[in-house]
Amino acid sequence: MLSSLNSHEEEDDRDHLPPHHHHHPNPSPGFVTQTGHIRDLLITCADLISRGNLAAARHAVSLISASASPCGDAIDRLANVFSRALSIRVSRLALVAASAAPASPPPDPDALGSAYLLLNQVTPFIRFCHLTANQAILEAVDGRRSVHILDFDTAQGVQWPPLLQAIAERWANPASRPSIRITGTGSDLDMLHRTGERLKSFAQTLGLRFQFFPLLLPSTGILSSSSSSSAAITGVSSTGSSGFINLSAFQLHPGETLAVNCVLFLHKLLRPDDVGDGWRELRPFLRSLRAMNPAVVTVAEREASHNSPPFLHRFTEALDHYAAMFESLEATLPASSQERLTVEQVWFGREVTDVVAGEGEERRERHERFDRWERAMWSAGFSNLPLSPFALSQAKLLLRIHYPLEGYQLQMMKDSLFLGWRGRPLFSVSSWRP
Amino acid sequence: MKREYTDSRACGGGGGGGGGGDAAEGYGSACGGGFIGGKSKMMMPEEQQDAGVDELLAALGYKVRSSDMADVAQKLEQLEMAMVSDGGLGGGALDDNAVLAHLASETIHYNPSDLSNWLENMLSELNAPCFPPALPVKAPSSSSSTSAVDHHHLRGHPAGPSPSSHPSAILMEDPLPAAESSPTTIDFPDPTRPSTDYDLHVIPGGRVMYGTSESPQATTSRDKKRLKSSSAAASAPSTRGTTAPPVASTASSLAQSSAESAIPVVLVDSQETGIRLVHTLMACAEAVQQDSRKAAEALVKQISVLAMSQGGAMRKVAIYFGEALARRIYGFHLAQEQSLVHAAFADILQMHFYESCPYLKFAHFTANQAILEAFAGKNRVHVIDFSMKQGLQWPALMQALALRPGGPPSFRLTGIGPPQPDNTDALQQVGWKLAQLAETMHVEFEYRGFVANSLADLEPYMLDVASARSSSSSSSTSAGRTSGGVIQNSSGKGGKNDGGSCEGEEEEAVAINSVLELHKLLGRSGAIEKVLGTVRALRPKIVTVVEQEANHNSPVFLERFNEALHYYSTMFDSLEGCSTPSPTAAGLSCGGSGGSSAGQDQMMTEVYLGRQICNVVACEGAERTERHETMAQWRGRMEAAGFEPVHLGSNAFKQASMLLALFAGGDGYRVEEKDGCLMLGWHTRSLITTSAWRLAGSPPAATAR
Repeated sequence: MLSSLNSHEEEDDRDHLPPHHHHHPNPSPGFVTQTGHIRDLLITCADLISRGNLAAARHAVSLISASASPCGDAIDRLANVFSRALSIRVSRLALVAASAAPASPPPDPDALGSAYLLLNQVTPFIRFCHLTANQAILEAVDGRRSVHILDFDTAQGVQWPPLLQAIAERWANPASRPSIRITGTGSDLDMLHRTGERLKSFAQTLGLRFQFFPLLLPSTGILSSSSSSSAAITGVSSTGSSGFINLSAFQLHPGETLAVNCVLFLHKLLRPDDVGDGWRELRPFLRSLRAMNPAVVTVAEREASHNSPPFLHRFTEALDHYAAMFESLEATLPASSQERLTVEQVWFGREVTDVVAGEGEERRERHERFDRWERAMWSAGFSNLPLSPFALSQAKLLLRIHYPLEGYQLQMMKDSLFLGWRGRPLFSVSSWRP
Repeated sequence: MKREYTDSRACGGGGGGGGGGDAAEGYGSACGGGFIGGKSKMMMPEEQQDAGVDELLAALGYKVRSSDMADVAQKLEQLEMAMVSDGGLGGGALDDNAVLAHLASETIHYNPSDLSNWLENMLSELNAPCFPPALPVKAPSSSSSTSAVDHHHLRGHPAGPSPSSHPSAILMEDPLPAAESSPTTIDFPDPTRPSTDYDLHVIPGGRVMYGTSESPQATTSRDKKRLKSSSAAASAPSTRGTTAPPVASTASSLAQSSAESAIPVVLVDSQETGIRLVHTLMACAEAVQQDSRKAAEALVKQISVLAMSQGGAMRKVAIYFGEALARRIYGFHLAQEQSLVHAAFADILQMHFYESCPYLKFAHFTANQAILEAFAGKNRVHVIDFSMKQGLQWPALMQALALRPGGPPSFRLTGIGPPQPDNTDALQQVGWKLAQLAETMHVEFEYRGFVANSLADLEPYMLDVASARSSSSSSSTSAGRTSGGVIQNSSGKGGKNDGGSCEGEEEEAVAINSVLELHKLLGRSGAIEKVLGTVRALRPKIVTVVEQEANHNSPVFLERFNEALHYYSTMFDSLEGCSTPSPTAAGLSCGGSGGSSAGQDQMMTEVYLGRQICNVVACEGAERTERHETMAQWRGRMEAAGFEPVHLGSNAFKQASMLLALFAGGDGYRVEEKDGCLMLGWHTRSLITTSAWRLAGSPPAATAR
């Protein structure tokens, strides 16, 4: 396969490619060879694209996708998702060359919604982020009478029932429990209202004093369908001081302790024309958070560099990042798992397409590693609030309950928690205070 | 000397290959370090070792008399079986059954459904397609197998499913009838909406936690477990007694559609309760730490309930920790359990622990290796065992000594143990059996049982170390000694020879052995120092110490709790991991323990570990005896007491690894060498450590290093 590909290459200098070959943890010799082979093919193809050799790239993609089944082993499935993303990139580039507008079908929000819930169910990633962020919030607001959580990208709100439950159980006497208010943000007002209703009735069964306010954020939500029309309803202006996000509609009541929750959100605020630390949208956003003087800001992010590197580097970075993801799913779900298929094809597939095929404003999965977030938080006047040993033990226990002992790894670094798969960190959770 | 020493180790390392099958048997039992039922269990696959080992042995100048080894091995195994059935399990059978019955009756049926309701509500709004129709579905046969199960399961329930029928089906799969209490929910389509094919999606959450085996070949067993999880989840609604008509309609539509294609079914699994369990366990321990009794009481009530929603190791661990927390919170004192009756029971439990997992076998094997090396070239050897129990460690050492080139040394064994509740002389019974074994092996043997409430009560003179050969003890005389009283013998003997070796006689080489014993001294001020002083005064050639690799002795409760939670979770994981033994292993286990099943071994092992958990979490002061500390901590203590480490060689490491592979198939268990100590763990976590020590400044004995 490789030789036939080479015949289409003018200059074969794959020696220039990043040297780190993917190390598979289960080294049955044939499999490693296979893994390395497909990985090489994918990178070769990306390289051809970055050189503008679209004809050869198209040929390479067709070779890869011919053999990459969405139901094969981890590397097959990875190749399936990545070759599809590459092929979209190739078609878009071709269209741009022909000065036709690149048409990307809008994602089906309902399909994404259920894929997200499945992701939450069958992988530890989301639960880990939520549980750890919740713990930081619980500790930061301990003893306060009135707690207000400003939650960025609330979606279905799956993070909050465990927190409400924990609060209800922590204080056996209902009179001593704090009141909870959540301002839930998102780009789909209907969904926010539904989520609010669910959370309210749930809090009611626990006997908690609870309020929910929806706050519309245009354009950041990946589940957004239409936003501008409903912006007026909540009084959110699209031309606020912070560019895309205007928090003027947000109100903190007197005596409330504020916790801000940014789980897998901040990367959506990065922009293609951000240079260095001059974050056009992120910086004003963080500054406005700082001005609210929250007791805690929780941040969860992907541990990957999918933002600034040029295409080829971004591609290899994504390949290795998602390879670890796919391998973890391979190890924890049976081969016939429809859930895995959905999570990989719909959820991760969308992300990979975004990282690999998207450019400019269109590209939103601008993941950055922890040190970048650390710098952003510092420069906005926040300092790290160390996560507790409780949080670490709890996260360990979570992994132990649901996922194989081996494979998933937790690490406390820089007072923050990292969840990884076999030596590769994949997610970070940290908490911050002014 | 060095030559001989090396030779004896060579026997341990590769002697099995010396003469084909026969020699392999000898190898297994002689040097396998007391892996009970060692003959067959340790049998080396012949094709793996036919070549090479003979050459190795020949190069070392060791002549393997395979016929002798086979004979000895057979007798050894007979002895081990006799000891196990008489001394331990036979007496404990009633207790075992009682425990089983107790466990069965204690199972709670409860369904904490508030959170699940919430999710149910939420999911019912998501009528969205689960995946784009364009996606090809490969391997339809395997994907539809899940649906087929649901189909099968649900078809049995026409319009009105009776709440009891599902649980009974589950019981057949799961010995603990708790699966139906899982707070799982099924997401039923809103009857007012048109039902689509995508209302339901199977989420095999409970199954995921079993997935310690990750090889692709394990798919079959994974799928099996998946079935269990699915059926448990499917039965939840009927247990809750809600929405029976929708069940029926969903069931029938599902049955139809699943026949056509792989229709996803949403079963909200038990993971939401898993998150609650995780948080509740931790929060309860924190409340205990902070003395907020009300919060702790509220939380501890949740734990057992939430634990029932889990499967596998985690459920058991959570239940034991929940119980331990409850004991601490409500102050159930453990005086009764500390009584002598329970001490005897503890011995029986430890026998099961020995049977069901390799930790104790590893401990005995590695300690024996160190002792054997220290005894190289000595003609009079004396082992003082602080942890005699059923004496399981010693047949293997005895056999290794019997096979020593140049003939066996005279072997004295002093076994120390606590007084027995019924005043039976358990130590002497063990000694009798060992003496019989010594006779069959033609080893000159002398045994003494020594009853002591605590090791700290021992004084050097009581242990009669330097006694000369004046009694010239043959097997029979040693048997005579053991049949006599214990302490009386000691004083009489001690009076005879207080002053070191007799004229011309070689001095006795002393080894002191302690397996999972020393940490019990840490609760009494000065006790460990006293004991180490006694040990030093005995001038041993070697001191072997086996301890749990964990710090369960932190004065801060929460730290101790966390450490113990992870330590025992790993321990229970390893039990689950090897609880489905290969046919051979199952046969061995039965043969070795005289009829007790592997399942029973595992259950009793869990009780054994559960008592430790209870002690670590619920007890304080003198009652808290499970004061495990890490090797680093022991090292500091031993060095302060005037000992220096003896490195356990890489040879011992290789042997231990190999034997482990034979015992457990090599999956999951790991032997690690660290600072000269050997550790056995499960995956990346070390759980038990063997270390060896000698008096600081003493010459490095006759060892070959």
